[in-house]
Amino acid sequence: MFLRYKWETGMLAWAMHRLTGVAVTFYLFLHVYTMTKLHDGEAAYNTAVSAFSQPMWKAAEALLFGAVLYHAVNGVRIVLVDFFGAARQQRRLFWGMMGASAAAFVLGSWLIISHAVH
Amino acid sequence: MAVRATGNAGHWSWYFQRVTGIALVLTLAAHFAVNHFMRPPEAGGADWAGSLYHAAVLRLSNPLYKGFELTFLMLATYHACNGLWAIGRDVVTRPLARTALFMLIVLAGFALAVVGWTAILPIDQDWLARGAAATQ
Amino acid sequence: MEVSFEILRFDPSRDSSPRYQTYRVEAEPNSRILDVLNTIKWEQDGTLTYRRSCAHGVCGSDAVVINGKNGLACQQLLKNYGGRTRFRIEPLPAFRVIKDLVVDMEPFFRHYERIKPYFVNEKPPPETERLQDPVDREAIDDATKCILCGACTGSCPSFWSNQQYLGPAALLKAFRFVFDTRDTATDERLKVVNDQDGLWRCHTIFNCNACCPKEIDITDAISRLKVLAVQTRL
Repeated sequence: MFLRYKWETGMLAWAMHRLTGVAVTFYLFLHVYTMTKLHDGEAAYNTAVSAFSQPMWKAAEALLFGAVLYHAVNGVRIVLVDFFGAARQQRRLFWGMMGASAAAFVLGSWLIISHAVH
Repeated sequence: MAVRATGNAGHWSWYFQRVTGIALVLTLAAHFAVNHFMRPPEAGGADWAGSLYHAAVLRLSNPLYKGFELTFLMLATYHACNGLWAIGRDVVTRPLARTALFMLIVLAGFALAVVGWTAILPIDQDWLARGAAATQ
Repeated sequence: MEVSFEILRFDPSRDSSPRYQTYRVEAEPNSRILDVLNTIKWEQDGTLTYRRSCAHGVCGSDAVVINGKNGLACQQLLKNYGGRTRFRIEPLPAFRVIKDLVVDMEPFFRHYERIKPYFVNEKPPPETERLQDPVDREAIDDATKCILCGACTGSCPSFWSNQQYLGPAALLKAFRFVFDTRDTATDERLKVVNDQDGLWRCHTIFNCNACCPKEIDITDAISRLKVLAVQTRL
């Protein structure tokens, strides 16, 4: 049913919200685990954290940024629908917000990959 | 189909997912800005050569910031677990399996919180000195 | 123009699994999906089974999946599909197929009955009628238009994966009476809808809104019920 039914804005927004939510949850566990390295001394922590500056991890970090950004922006859209009667405007709201986030995503990814943000 | 009692109605789960969600947008922005764009206040000028470890310890030794990070952790843990639980109730329908899944999610969340607190809470002003002494 | 109709057919008493059967029919762009189904049944294959009654978008008996989206066969014209001449017609998702495009709507109506889909007011009715302010009536105007075709509930991913879920149609009807200023059974209905398998399985996916043949803002009604359910517990 999920594959055969027509994918319109709402279902796309919902599926991506779930996907990014689960992905960010995985990262949360990983991130908290990294913080335990603070107890293993300077070298251990620096090694653990600097692993993330490898090119492949940089790309993953950009994806993580995108996932968090999407989840946050769509979350605001859900709140607008639930509490501010924005149901009729949900499509325009979604694509408008996605347009703005796309710009933020490009800027953010560039900062991450060019190592301006570490 | 029998109507169940309203004890596990689910309205708080829904409501607090939105409250913590909005709170997380704000706290995450602050967390991100502080950790990626700002030097720890004690670090001084532009030629500061401290490692990521130094920076992290300096930030977390500030009780205010530590409190903020722990609040952020609790918000994120609740929001993540509550989100997983929402997905779980969509997919799992048998009452016993639902209860088992709920306990599993609570356990995972609890473990995450404990690991996070024990990692961050003891970090204080003397952490760098003690760490250096321990590695010698 | 000639159109091809790929119809998902299934006769549980003979077939082990559903299969697509393709029919070619001469039709007009203004023909309705139902007209084409009728032509097939009357001229090509009398065994094709589907449900229809009034054929004018009022009785709500011919909701099917048309090119991957729920809709009324008697309401959708061929030209509504961007000049396509290939159509795929399937029974409503998530319901048990009785034969071909006819599904068992029993679970749908069981959920519907749970929310008490009737006016409740213990006070004896006045001589004439229970008057209502036009402004109050307007709040539920949209919701009164539901024809119970089941397109919305059959389009909802939450219902696909969990058929204990009340579904959009039942929740919309709950909204219609809860927000009716003359009705007094608000608490009883809130108890039914404020449930793990009630309001809280709605994740504002909007498939219901997108396919409702009466263009009812179902998601908005459900959101208002959610907010009310929380407010009464605060």
